[in-house]
Amino acid sequence: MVDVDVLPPDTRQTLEKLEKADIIVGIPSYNNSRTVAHVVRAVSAGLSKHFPDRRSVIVNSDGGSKDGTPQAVLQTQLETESLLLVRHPIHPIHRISTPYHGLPGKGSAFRTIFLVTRQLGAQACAVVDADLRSITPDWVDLLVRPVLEHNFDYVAPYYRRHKYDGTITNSMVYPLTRALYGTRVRQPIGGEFGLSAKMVERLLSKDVWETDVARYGVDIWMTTTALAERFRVCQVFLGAKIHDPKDPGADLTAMLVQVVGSLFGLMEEHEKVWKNIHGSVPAPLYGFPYTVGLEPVKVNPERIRSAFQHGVRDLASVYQSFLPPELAGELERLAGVPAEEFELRDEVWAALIYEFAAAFHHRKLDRTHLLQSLTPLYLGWVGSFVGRTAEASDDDAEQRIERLCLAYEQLKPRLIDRWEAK
Amino acid sequence: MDEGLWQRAVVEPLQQLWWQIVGYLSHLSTAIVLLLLGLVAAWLAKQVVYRSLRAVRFDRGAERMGLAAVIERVGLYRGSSYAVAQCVQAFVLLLTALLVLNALGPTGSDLVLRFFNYLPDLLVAGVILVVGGLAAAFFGRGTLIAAVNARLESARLLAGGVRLFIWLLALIVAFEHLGIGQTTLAIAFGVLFGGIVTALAIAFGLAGKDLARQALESLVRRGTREEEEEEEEEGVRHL
Repeated sequence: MVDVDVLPPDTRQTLEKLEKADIIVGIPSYNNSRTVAHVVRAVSAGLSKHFPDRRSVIVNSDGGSKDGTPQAVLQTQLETESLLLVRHPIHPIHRISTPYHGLPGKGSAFRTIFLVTRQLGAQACAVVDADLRSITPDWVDLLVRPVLEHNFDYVAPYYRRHKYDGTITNSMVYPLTRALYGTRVRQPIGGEFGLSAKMVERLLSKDVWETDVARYGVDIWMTTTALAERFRVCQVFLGAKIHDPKDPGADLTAMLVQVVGSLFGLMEEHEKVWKNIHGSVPAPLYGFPYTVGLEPVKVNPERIRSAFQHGVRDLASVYQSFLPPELAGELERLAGVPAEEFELRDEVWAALIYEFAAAFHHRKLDRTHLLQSLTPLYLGWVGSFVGRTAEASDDDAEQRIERLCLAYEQLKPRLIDRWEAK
Repeated sequence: MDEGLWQRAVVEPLQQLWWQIVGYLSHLSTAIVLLLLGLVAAWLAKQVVYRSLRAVRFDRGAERMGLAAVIERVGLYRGSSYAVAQCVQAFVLLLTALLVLNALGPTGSDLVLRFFNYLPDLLVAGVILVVGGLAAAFFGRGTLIAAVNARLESARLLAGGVRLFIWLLALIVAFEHLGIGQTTLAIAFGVLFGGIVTALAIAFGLAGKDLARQALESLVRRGTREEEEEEEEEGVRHL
């Protein structure tokens, strides 16, 4: 199918009428009528306030919402009087709401947004989640300006998050991406991004839209592509990320399979790049960091640890089939220790993830089974982290994540050994 | 004694016996030579197959496909290449045995003919068992992981049940193909499977009626409160 055919005919007609735009802000959605109006208002206000002389289009790419999300996007009114604008926009801010085609998921929604960006010849594109409660007009400025005025190709978000918010990111995605590609992007799967036209073009040129990238894997795929292909990457401080609890119907194992599967799959694609990288450097951070109040997160560590212990006991034969005896033994030991002594050490966790990556690469097990079997171990890490940081501030917890990242970096030669083992 | 009678009563039977013994010895010597040759050929075939499979890293491929687990399960612990080589050796030995039987005379020839007529069915049954074993290992492992992730207490039992069910199914199909106890096996399977379902139904419906009510209520609630329940379970936000 030709790329542009992915867009519905009425959307193509609308784009033909619009002809040209400078900035596209995309909002992928699925049953987000509760929050999407706020997001649309914030984006509209941000475009009016920060880019009054640019032609901008807001594109809602919807996955077939049943709760009137597209209508909410199109009908939301912005009261410009209350914004106290110094300059009013020269061009009206257009809105398009279009269903996406392909596999259901965020990746397919992004593809539609990128196609609109290409079709209208926009210089910059930003994407923001439709379930955001904490978005402000300044987010648009922060995501778009580094592209338009500082020649960055990829702008990643930097949030203040509760220590127990984003645990897949903290335990695997951030430390592994950082150790592999040598750049510290704290929120590689944050959900909000800014992209240059060059970056959009590069992403569209890849044949990945019928894979897990089309689902949860799209964020890590974009970030990895930007880092591995040496696009100019920066981070912007967006404050707090407060959003609806989770995607409807999302399931932990499915999330893990898609995110970690994408991460490991990308390791194969960029093998030559990451093997030659040692250590890491921070990506430039823009914006004004400030302290924010965060939503409290109640955690049930007993339940998490119990899931780990049962998982290790029941899946012992699966783990023994690809883990070295010392790691399998350490898991068995941990499954038997009392709660107060339960700690999954950073070196053990990093080694486990590297073993999973190598087993994925060598296909030691059916890949889906392998990734699914990570769930109890991941919960073990969460349980251990919760146990060790129960009294810690968010900053102290962040220091523990930093130590984990260093463990990943130090153990990278082990990954290369295991990866290359015949 | 009449010379003709002596000839008929003693000499001719002895001559016949002699020729029979000579003929039999000739068959026997051929059979022994064939047996020796067969033993050597079987040993050679085993070595060639084993070394060739090791050279092409067959063990790793078998491990990935789950074949290694099946082979281990039936008690062959020296690796998949060794197991396949042993099968080849056994096959050559079997052929040797058939040739030896054939060399021993008409009764053996009949056995050989019947065996060769039966061979295709035997091979198909073997394939059915191998595929069944692979499927049992794959689906058993998938069930185990899914059940663990769903936090079911009896995950291993469930996975074992799935494995057993697939193995039984494969065995019945294989035996049916070989024409062994077709009706008996089908009935036995039907009775066993029906018995399990009935037992589960009784256990869940009568003995565990409160549990069934709770489970159904939980299912109904889940449709409306899925998000909140999931959040309450662990508290952390994963993504």
